[in-house]
Amino acid sequence: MSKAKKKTTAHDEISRKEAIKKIGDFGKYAALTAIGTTILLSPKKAQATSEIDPGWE
Amino acid sequence: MKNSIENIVSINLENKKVIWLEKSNNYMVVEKFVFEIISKIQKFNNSKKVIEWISNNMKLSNSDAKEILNAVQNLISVSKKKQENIDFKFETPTSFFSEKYYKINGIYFLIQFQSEKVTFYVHPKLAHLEVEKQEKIDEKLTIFSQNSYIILLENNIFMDAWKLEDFHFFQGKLSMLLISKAYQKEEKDWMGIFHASAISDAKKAILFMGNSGSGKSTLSALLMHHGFLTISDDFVPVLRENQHVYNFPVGISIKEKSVEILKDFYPELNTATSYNLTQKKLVRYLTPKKTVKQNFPCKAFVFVKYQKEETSVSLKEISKLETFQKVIPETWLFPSKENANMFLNWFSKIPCYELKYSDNNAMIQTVKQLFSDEI
Repeated sequence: MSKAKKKTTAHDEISRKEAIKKIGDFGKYAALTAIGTTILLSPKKAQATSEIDPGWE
Repeated sequence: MKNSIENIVSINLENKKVIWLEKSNNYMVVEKFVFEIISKIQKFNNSKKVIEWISNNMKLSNSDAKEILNAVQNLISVSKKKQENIDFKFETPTSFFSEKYYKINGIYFLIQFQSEKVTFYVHPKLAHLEVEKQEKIDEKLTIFSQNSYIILLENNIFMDAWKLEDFHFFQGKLSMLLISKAYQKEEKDWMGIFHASAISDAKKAILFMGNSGSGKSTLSALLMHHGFLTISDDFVPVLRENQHVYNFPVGISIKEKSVEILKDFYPELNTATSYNLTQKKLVRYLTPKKTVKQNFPCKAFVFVKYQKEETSVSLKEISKLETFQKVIPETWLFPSKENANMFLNWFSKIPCYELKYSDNNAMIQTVKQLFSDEI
């Protein structure tokens, strides 16, 4: 039973190279999507302590 | 070429690339192929060549490659915001509400406070460092408010002015001046200032981080009672030269709800004055223990969360990328190529953990194990 299952899985697997080939024309969109996942992080603009609000005039 | 890149620094972090851009002083987490394209923009400084490279390497048509290049260029085109220059005249006060002398790491400071209000917001954290009047001082700081600004002078020279809503930046600068003078350093010598509580076993330091209300200061106080040192609370300086965490011995601010938990360990909290820092934040200050050594290498970053009715304690290693994203927006990092390089290398070697606890004793045992490499 488990042997049969294993066989099917092996049959379904494709290599990365093949996957890229299959994607074909979609390469550009995949790349644009990946560019869109970029995370931009800005450190604090100056040294700071925890925020407090003196509430002055 | 639309954008030329002056300087970038990069490092591999898990399956991504982290880069620092000099123009904006921003850090970016990108896919590795995006970094490749950025490197080519920097190397060729010629759109045609970069498009050709993208086209060949990613098997794309020229027009698609151009589109990819544009998208990457948009990422790096965040220009540096111009700093607002404050242009106004001020009059240095001639009389003061209070003049106080402090000693930090053998250095004598005189701080002149123009008003009771300024004294109220600055002095309590430093009160335990106050000494009697000195004939000779190393540094004089003058603090006053005028025209809705808070102004700081260093040895009678104008340092900066802040709008009152930026009071935490004024406090940051004041802390920076104190720490730099205390260790005979300049601002550019520090790698960064971390928003954390730094605890030490007298050999190494662990930086405990977390959102406001996550229990950082309470945890610090509990650990201090069990033999650890609180080397800095809220404002943790790390020096670039040795990448060590430095002792900044200001008072540990304890919120009113934590006083209940801590008063059995620290009876002095019962009689300590409460300060109403904001409408919601009523705090008392706890004096940190004196340390012999002033600086320690960093052993770990720990994100802490007090969770009522959860398992007594759990500590698990977490992703560095996840930690990086939480740490950067809360941190000041000196903006230079050398520093960005040093910081990224340092950060990539430090393990990151998440600590959730509901039981104080279990938490203390876990931190002890972490310090002694039993985890």
